[in-house]
Amino acid sequence: MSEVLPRFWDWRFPTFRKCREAYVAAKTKRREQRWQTIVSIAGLPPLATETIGKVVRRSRLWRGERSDVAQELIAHFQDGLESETSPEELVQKFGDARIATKLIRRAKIRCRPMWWQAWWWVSRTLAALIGIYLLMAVWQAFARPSVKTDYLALHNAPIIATPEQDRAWPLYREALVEMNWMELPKWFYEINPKKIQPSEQDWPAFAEWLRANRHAVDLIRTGSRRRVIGLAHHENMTDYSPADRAALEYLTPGALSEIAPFPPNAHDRSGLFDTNLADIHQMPLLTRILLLDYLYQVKQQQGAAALDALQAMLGLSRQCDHGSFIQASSIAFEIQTEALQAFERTLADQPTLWTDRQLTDFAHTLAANEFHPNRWLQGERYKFEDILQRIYNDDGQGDGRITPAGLEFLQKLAGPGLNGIVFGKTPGERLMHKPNLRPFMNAAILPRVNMLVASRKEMLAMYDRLLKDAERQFALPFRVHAEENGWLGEHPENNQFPYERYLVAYRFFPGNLSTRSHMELTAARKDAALLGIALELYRREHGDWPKALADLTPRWLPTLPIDRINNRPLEYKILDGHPTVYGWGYDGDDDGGRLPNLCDGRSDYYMRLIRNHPAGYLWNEGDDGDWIIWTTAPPSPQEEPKPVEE
Amino acid sequence: MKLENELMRGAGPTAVLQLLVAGEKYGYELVQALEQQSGGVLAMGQSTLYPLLYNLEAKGLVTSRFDESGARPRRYYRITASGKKRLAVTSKQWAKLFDAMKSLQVLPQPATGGAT
Repeated sequence: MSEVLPRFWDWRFPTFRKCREAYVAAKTKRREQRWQTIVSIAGLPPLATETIGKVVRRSRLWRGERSDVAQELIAHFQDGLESETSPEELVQKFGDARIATKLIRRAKIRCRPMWWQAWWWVSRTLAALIGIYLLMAVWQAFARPSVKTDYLALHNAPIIATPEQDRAWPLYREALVEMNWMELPKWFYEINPKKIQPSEQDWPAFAEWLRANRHAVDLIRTGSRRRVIGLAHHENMTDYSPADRAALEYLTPGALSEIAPFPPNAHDRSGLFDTNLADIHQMPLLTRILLLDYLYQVKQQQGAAALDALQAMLGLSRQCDHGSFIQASSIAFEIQTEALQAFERTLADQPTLWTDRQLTDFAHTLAANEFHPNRWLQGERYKFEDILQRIYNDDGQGDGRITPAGLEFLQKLAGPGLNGIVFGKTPGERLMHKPNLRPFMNAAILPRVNMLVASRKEMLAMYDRLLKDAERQFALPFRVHAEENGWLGEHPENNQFPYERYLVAYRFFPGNLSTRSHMELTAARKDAALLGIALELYRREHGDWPKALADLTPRWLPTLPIDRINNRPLEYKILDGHPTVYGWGYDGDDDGGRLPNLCDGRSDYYMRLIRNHPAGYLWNEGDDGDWIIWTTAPPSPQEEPKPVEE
Repeated sequence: MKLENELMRGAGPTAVLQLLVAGEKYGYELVQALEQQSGGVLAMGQSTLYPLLYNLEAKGLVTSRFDESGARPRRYYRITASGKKRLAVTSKQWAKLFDAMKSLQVLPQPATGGAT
């Protein structure tokens, strides 16, 4: 304020005043000039100077704007003073400096250029959004999953309620321990079951092993006649009793957890998702033992004992199908397929091994062995509900948002994919891999994930939608089902809903078409076995093969099976003296019972072809040829499959 | 008598625009004109005049220029074509409001004819 000259000099020396004002005018040409300078050289009374200073200083406008305001207010006060108004009165009439500051600032900002106005609004909006996002991040960082239902206990309840005499597990356990299953001969695991033949060099060893373990094999046979396996499941191997573990512990403890474990801090137990179906995983081993026994009995020409071994395998298959999970059902399919493959081969090669009565009884048992997809679909839904309650929190209305613990699980589940979804290809994605930063990064991305991924209720609704669609598709003919799914379907992009949003539902929904395909192939093999028995019984009574398949009904078959691929009647021909039953195959036309040129090394699982000779076939869409269900003709050398690259 | 704030908020811009129809004016000149020509009714806090002018300028109803040729540098304000249009509109509205107030006898009725 040292530059402020007393107004006294202005009054006494008008010439001096004019010079000074000219100087001020020259100074104010530069709009960037500091407003303090302008005010200080204006020569106003201290009261007016102070008022202007307050208004301009507090306005927080740009420098040029402040200078403009300062000049205008200086002129205002100077005009007022010139009209003989006292400084006190002028300041009083000017009004409250605080209000003036606020109004001037607001009005001046409105005068700013359009680009600035746009930037101002955008930046404020962004700041507000960031603020809201951060609040959401803090709020969501404290969300915890609320595990209210013990689905594992629900799953185990019917198993525990099963009477002891209906449970096969005690017998299986005894058999496994008795045969010292952990020390089974190496050949037992290495040999291809399809090649367990008396001609094999290891056959004497097989036979010796069977004789030594006869009691254990009989225990398995007895157990297979019981209703269920009857072992309650646990998440970890350590939760099983020592006696059970002695018969189970071939899986590394926690091996299933290594696939996608829930984070340990989310909950102590990981529930139905991580349930170790250790008993189900032992069933293929028991199947192999029974298959070995079957082949041994065939070799000994013991038809009844051989059929008993087959019945036992079907029993194992039925027990697995009670497992309520797709994994258990898949093993059930495999077991039945193994049993029927062996049976078909024997029936074609040694049809006289069994009496009419034995074949009829076996046909009845086989016909009753049906799989029910609705059972495992429901079991999988329980599993899914359990997963949801461990990923999401619960708002009390059945809905909820993903929790930090759930996010960690999703990241393991989706791999880097989920981070990519959230961050794109940005440095943020790389930061996710730094363990120290991970909790913070997770807290930061959680609101975004919750925006991207469906809520708990939406996710369950999507799962139910998929479930309903699966049930509908299971009721469709296989070909229609497969065509709906694009034959090799089940890729997320085939679905009409965004994969990222319904990631959990899509990831945990069981493979619909692949399971259906597996089930159809198992059912087709059953058709083949029943047809083979009916044809054999017909031949025994009439001395020749029937002229048409219709001749088999209703005496030997209540109804004829259909071409499962084309949903039409099967074709039947006598080729080189061998009855041949076939469907048109995936090319959809009749090639006279000729196999397509197969086995080119492709491994389209869905198109796997069954046939009644020891080797399986692969079938590819568009292959020209038929799907042979049953024939007594031996496989020709060119039909032998080439190795398949899995 | 001074107007209440709410009334002044509506009347102030119209009054300023009307004053500028006669020609360009600077801030203090407008302050004085408002006070004198309205008999003190429209005398607003002088500090509120300048924000009012800046707002009118932001809306394009007035323009300003900085004149340094006079005794002291001053900012002069002039009404624009948009300002004139707006003034015409608001003037009509004020007239209607005035008539309505008269009809409601909030304002005195004009004298009619001779006495009976």
